[in-house]
Amino acid sequence: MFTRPTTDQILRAVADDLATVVLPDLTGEPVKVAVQMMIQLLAGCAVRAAHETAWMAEEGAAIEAAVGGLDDPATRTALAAYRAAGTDLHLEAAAR
Amino acid sequence: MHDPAEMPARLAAFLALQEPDAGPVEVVSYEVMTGGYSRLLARAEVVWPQQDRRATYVLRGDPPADRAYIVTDRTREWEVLRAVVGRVAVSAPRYLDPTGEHLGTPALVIDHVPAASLLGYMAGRDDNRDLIGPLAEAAAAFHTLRLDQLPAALDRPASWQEYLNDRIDEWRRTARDHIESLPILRYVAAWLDAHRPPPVALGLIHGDFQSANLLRADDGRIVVLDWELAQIGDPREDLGYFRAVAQAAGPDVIGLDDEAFCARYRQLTGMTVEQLNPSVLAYFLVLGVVGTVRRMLEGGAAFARGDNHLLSSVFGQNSILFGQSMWLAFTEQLDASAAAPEV
Repeated sequence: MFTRPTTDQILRAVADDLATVVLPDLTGEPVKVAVQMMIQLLAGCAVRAAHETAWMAEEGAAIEAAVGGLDDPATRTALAAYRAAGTDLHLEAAAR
Repeated sequence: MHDPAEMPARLAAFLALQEPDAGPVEVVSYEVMTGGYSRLLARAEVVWPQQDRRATYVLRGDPPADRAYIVTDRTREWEVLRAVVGRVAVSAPRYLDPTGEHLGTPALVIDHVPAASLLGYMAGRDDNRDLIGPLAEAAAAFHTLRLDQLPAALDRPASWQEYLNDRIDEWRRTARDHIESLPILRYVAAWLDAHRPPPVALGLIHGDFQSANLLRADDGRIVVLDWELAQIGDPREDLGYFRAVAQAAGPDVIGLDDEAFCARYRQLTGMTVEQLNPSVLAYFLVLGVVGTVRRMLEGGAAFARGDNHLLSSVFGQNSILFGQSMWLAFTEQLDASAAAPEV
């Protein structure tokens, strides 16, 4: 698989081109606003792409550590289901 | 309004029906306007040749259903405008097409106000503190309307306590209904519950009181636009909401001198220092955004489910992220000031 350029690099490049190449040539206000929104969204996606699976895994571990000692049936059931789901890092599984 | 090409003819026919004795009417220009995120906006120049009369109107109509960011009622907005016109500077309501039979979508026809956007006006100045008084006066002008002066269509909460309970619970409902877990929503609800301010009389609130919905007229008055989210509630919510939005898109006119703003607003409304001071404003800065938060999260969830494809739905999630840090900062700041010993 490709790891270079990274997804966040590609997203930043697209955002930069939208800002420096496309935006200056636009004249209609609604289109300019839409492109500015796209640039901001792409910049946000670039940050997420670089970190979000790790953030989810870290948060999952922190929550597991925080509730692991709780003596509560519902929490124990939820924790067992969480542990049974394993450590699949594909986004669909990690985001559950 | 969904097809601008057919609008001059549609509008002319509609206006002819509204004023059958005014003679022929011509729509000499029709221009789609930018700036309305939730509703379609257009400006039209209209002439009645026999009467040597000319008018500039703004049309404010519903977008197609799959492009609707929020659903609101044009008839209700019309009734609110009719209640506030003359009390606060607004675009005066002229005509209503409640069903869209004539204009293609439910729409209001309101006066075009030749005034500057407040955001644009402020951007060109170093010091905007002279706007504190006019802003307080604009808000107080409709916040002090009596309930019997307001449209019957607006819900009347049984009491301030019931109203505040419901607003706080909206944070909890939003948490329950959201597509994923966001514990901060429950934290905010618990914090709001534990720090309730003194009650005030319920009144009309604008519901989207922010600089982007305000103009500055040549005489210095603030013109208040976009009344689609108006309802009966705690007027301080509008003030907190104004500050919340201004944290993301300043300048924050109230924050330039919040003591001075509160003093002028209290003078106009009769509220006490306990009922309105900078700390109470900060409480409502957090509480007042719940409606927007809910709509943004619903938009994001609908996008995630594939129910809509609006860029604005995704964009709203950026505001939620900004909001989270703002709520935490203000709640921690208020807790710290409450815990600090008096000097």
